[in-house]
Amino acid sequence: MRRMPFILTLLASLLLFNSLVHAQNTGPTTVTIALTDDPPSGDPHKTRGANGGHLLFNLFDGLVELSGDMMSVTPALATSWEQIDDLTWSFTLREGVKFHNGEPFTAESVRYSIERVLDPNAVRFNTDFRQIGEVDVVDDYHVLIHLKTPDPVFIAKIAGLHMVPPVYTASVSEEEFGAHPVGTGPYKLVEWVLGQRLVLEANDDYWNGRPSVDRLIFRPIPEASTRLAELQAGTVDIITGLNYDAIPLVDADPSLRVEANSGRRTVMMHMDLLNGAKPLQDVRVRQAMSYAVDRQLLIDAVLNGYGTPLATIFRPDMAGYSADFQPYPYDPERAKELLAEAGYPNGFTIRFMTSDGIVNKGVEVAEALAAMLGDVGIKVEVLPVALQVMRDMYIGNPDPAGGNVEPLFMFNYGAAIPDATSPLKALIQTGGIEAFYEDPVMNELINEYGSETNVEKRNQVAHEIQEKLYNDLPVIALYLQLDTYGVNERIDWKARKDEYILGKDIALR
Amino acid sequence: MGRYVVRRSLQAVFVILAVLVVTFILLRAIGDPARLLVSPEGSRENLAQIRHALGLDVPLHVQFVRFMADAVKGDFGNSFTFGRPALGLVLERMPATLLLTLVALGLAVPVGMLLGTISAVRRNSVYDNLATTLAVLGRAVPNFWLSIMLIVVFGAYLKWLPPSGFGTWKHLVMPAVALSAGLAAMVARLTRSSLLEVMGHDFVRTAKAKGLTESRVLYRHVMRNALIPIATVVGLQAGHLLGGAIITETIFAWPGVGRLLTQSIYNYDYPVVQTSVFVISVTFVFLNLAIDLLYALIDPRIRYE
Repeated sequence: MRRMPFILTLLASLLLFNSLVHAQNTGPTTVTIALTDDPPSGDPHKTRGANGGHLLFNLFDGLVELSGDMMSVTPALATSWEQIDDLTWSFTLREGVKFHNGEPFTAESVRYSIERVLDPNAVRFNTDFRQIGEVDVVDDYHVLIHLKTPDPVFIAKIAGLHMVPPVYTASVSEEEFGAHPVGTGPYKLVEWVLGQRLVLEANDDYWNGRPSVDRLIFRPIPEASTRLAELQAGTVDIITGLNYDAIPLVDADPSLRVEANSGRRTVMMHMDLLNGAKPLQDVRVRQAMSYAVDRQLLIDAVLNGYGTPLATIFRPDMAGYSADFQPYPYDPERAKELLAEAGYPNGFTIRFMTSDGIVNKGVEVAEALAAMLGDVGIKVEVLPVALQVMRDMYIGNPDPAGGNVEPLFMFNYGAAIPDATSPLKALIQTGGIEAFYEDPVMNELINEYGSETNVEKRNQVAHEIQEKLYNDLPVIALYLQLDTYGVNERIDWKARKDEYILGKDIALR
Repeated sequence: MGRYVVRRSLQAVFVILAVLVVTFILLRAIGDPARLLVSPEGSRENLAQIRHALGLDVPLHVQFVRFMADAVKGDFGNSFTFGRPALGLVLERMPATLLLTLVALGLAVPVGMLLGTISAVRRNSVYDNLATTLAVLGRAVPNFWLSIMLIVVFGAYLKWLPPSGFGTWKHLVMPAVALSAGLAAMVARLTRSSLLEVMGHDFVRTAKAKGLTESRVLYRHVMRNALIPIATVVGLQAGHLLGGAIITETIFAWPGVGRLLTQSIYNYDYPVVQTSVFVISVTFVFLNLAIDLLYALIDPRIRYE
């Protein structure tokens, strides 16, 4: 019994010591981020999708980089560049940059990386660089890039062309490189356990200064409510894919907040106009459908306000966007008139394929649209399916003449740069990978837009394209979808338009 | 016994082969993985290039022959999504799944039997009603709902346990409870009815008449006989636990085969789906075999000749 006080004292001092240690804990700062899934690979030339981007844009750099709002291009591995003529670009490279494995970054790295992307015998998911011809190494820190065709947005596109170290990359298999990627980026990969975690550590030698957060941990958590619970428990600092329905829960918690970006994805009702349902082939019907939709109500009621109405698939930040075209006003009377003119005074019946994966709350959005279209007499039967079913049906349709797909379907397009060439070529131009439309004039205009380097002329072409998109409605644009994130208040971070979560954008409060 | 094991093992090999063939055909019927892999910003040439690289541009029967020839050599191809060997991906995930299902099984059987025994011994008492209600609830509540409720209450609200993930015993508690609930409920109800049935037999009355204590009668005579139907059901359900693990693993971000399988089905990742189904069916088939052999231990009347 007499020893009790001694033991108690010992315990008390241990506890005190322990808490002192904790109070003085100045260990590495860690930010944990919940993703919806594992990134598929660490190979920047073989990965696509948002989950891949979170990894790649932390590990790698391009010659230039795009700001978080996509509005400006700033120097990265190139310090300056110059367009010599329509087809030739000259880059001056940053000196003294090293890859994570110590390999120096030089003009040779640029040549090797670009040739690796363009390798015709390898599977590459990025097709934005087909216009690149040859790369000339002038000296260690100067390269010339020759284009096969003029590209007005070349400089923005190459922000996504990541530089890999030639010696290391050539010495390992592509599989090995994907599992152990090496770049020049602000973070380096230290551990990757598929299905569990991805650990990145700040690069002490980063050319733009060491980032302030020492460690980033990405955890793949497929279930949205589980991600939310992790955020509420304080075990995760940022969650991606926050459900709109969960926003009030996050708002109600003083230690959490909601962040949203300015929207990369345009949401639309897409249609098979080559061989789909007959009523849709009449432009008046399509216009009636556009008049029948109350875009703002849709955004407020279904998306908790996280959306911006759109007139066409041109996002307001895209080159050549014109404010002359405003979203069709909600006018059910006009819609009924147009339907009657088109010969459908009593409307018609059509199926509408959608998925929760193709746009946020895709099924509820489609049901709301169905109700609005129902008000003007178009009876819409919503057909909810898995995202994969839709992708399998609509992307790269084996029959370019259309007709073997559901004629009306929900779609989204998230262009990676503020330019409409890629969505126009994919969605509108005949032969595009998800296009069901044929208009020779439009096809020609899209080619012009894609290659015209004179800004004024290009804007004129863009205006013509938007006018046609607005009047002929090859797709019925609905709104710009904003991505929402749940964030712990200890984190200082703003969501980027490109959807990626980058350690260099994060600071602790 | 020996001959029986050989016969059952041959049957098992046949079942597994059949599973491989069916999986192969069904997968090819659902869709084209190249269209899922190609960027929506891509081109038709790009699509063809991907299809070629994945070996999907040759006729189905050629694909099948290639697949079987490689599979026999233990090569299940590379994951379309991750580009790594599928077998490695699946085997890497197997321990997590086994841990989860074994712990769930180890939780469900004793808990269920305890509840069932209380119910049977104190038949129609408050305890019986309580245990029976619990059993009905455990059976009726969907697994995913229970999982999410556990996460919300113990993970997000009370903060007693990590909401999801893998690593410590704390991470294991909620997924194991969620996965075991249904089976525990089933075992409880079965134990109750089975015990009650055995208790009515003459030999139990004889045992009591001999002057044996209540507990001795229960454990030596009643329980032993009631175990056989319970073992059968547990054996069958153990395989179903693997199926339940698919949902549980996805909700709890548990890095097991079930979650990999779901992910791969979504991505039309043929090699990984085929390999996961192969590994799971091997486990299932041999688990059933093991249970059948266990009967002989529980019940001396059962002999395999």
